[in-house]
Amino acid sequence: MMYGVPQEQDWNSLDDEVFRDIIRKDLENNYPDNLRYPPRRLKWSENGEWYIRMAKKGWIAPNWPVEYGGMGLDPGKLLIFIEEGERWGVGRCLDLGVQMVGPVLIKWGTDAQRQEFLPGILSCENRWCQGYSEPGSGSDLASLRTRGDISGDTLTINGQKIWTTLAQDATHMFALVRTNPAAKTKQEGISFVLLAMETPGVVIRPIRDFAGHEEFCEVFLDDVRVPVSNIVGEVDDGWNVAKSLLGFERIFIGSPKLPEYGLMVLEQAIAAAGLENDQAVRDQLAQYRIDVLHLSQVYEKFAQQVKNGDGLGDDVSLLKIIATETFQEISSYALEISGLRGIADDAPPGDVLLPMLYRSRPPTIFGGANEIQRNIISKRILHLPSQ
Amino acid sequence: MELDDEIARQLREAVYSFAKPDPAKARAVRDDMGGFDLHEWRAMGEQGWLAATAPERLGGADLGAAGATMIARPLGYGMKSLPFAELTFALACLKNIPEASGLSKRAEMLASGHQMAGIVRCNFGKGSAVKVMESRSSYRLEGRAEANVSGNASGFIVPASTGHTWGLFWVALEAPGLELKEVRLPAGGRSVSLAFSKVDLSSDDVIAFGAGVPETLCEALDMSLITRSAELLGLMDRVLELSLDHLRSRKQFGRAIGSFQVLQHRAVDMWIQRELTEAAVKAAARAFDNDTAPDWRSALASAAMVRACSAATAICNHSVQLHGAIGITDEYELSLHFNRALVLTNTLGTAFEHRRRFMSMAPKADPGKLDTQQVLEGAA
Repeated sequence: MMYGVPQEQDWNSLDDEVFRDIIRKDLENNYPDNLRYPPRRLKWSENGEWYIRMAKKGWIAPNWPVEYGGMGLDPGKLLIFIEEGERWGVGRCLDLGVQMVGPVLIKWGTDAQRQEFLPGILSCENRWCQGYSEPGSGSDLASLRTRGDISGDTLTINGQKIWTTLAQDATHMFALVRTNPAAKTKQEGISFVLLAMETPGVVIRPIRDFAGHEEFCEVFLDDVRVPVSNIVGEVDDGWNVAKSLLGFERIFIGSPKLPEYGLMVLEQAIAAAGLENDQAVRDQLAQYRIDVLHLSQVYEKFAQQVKNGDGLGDDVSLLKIIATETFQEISSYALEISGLRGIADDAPPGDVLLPMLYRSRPPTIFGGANEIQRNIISKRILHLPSQ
Repeated sequence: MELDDEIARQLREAVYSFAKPDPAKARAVRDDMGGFDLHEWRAMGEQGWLAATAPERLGGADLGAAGATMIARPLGYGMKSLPFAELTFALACLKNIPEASGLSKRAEMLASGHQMAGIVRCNFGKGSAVKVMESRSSYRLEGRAEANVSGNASGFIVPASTGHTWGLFWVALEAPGLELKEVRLPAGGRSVSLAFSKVDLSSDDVIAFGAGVPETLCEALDMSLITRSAELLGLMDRVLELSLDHLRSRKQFGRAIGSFQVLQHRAVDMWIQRELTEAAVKAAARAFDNDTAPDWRSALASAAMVRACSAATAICNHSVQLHGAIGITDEYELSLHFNRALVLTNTLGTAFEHRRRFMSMAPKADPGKLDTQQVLEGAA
């Protein structure tokens, strides 16, 4: 079966800088100006057109193998592709199908599952959201309680998911459900399952955040019936399936681009406040510039590991910690020197500072809370004892 | 000259072996030897390590900033009180000295460890501390300066300005008109206040005069900053090691204190600062050795110093805290590092001074990063 659109060329055979130039030029010439550096997550209604364009071009799945409709980029080229997007301020939309579902189906799925679900991802006809966290299971995700009861060919799901990003825009969900409450460990009784949002029993309730946006949702699952064949991988092996996704993608959670953006905005805020020559401000700005500089130097070390094919160790968690916390500090400081104009969002600089401030709070919580990241480093890198 | 991986590994191994942490020895140097062990210095000279950054025609191996960091990091780890960073400054000042010049021989002596040089500390933008009057190849110095002195300096490298022109001079210890006042620092360190009163020099004492001196000074400073940052990195390595060992072995409330999450997270934050310092030192050394544009090269060197100083301070402070009361004693090894860190973070410029230098060297963000204009226009 042919998946997606054939690639124009073998991207990996190109020189890195030639490839970078191709991607850069395409983005510069085609990405809508008004969508660059969005202050918040964009909805499908806002940037769906861009993603359809990328789908038609065959550029929607840079990380998938060519035989499944992807660009087949090697790690080094994939880094470049994403870096160029970040550089140009391309908003990341609901691309969980590309990032998570596709790779899972390619690695663990059956041919039938791939034929059923991959084309929809490649064409953007289907958009996916993630059903992982629950009210009682955040950092301790393995304690999740949404049930999946198997009877014959049917899996019946009951429970609740929360913090499901942009579920309102999604046509499908991939979820972790507990199919064996009696398993020896909490991880061992979990299955990875795919379902359509239109399946009877699925109810979405958007959650309004403190910035006034609705970017994530509660999803109630009330006797939701799906075919057992929607389970990916073995029954009860879902934790391993989900874990396998955490490959070198972890490097992106700690991208320097977020605090670099913060720094750019801070410099503008300093200028707007007429504080360019204030010594105290210059001193603090110097510190933040150095913090971001050194983050990007550490990032390069990990990028090199990825390019060498060495994979990433648990020490990569430090990128996420530094990037997110530096971004928070910069955002807060920008507000501090701007005063009231910083929190009035109908005019500069507040129109940029206030959204940035709101945006700076969640990243230390999502993607593995920073406390957990520190726990990981403590245990696996520093070998400090548990209880 | 590029160091191949195997030679680099051997060099590192050898210096780590030479500089094994020896608290008793370090205390003897501090208390009984005036803060400096000449034998250790000479031993480094014999190995060729002191000459690492000197050009080959002066007996050096020309290993650049990379080589300097490979030697400095183990020295910091092993709590050695040896002015290696200061030497890299001196050698960088002297590297273009014509072979015929009398100072060429002196440069060789410095590189072999048979002589030592004090270096006047950078004034960080406050102008030259020492004035020079030049008249027909005769030079007269006036003024005051602070210098990093090594126990047996036979002279000082002194920058001075006429008001329009810069010069770089060698001033012998016995030069008439030169007065010294030694200042004691923690951990047996020494600084010296120099007073120049009609100190007359001839052209034999001129390292450089005229155009190019500020650039030479900047480059020499950058080299010494990178070296010093690497030394602080080694110090951090050892303090982190002591801290983690303590966390794993010290028991209270029936368990190792390293099992308490607050201390775990503190240790992680210390480790993160060490990782950042390592990346910063490597990047600054790479830029230095690859002929990066001078201003950006200097910005990276000062940035590395900001990081090294603040990270070393934070790591030492946290280490004292998590050791409890023994962390404050002189008997425990940590005291040697804590005190040495005070000296290292204050004798080639502080984090504060280097933040300022960073901003003056790099007033704009790194070229090739985000497109500022678009960032801000597109953000609306």
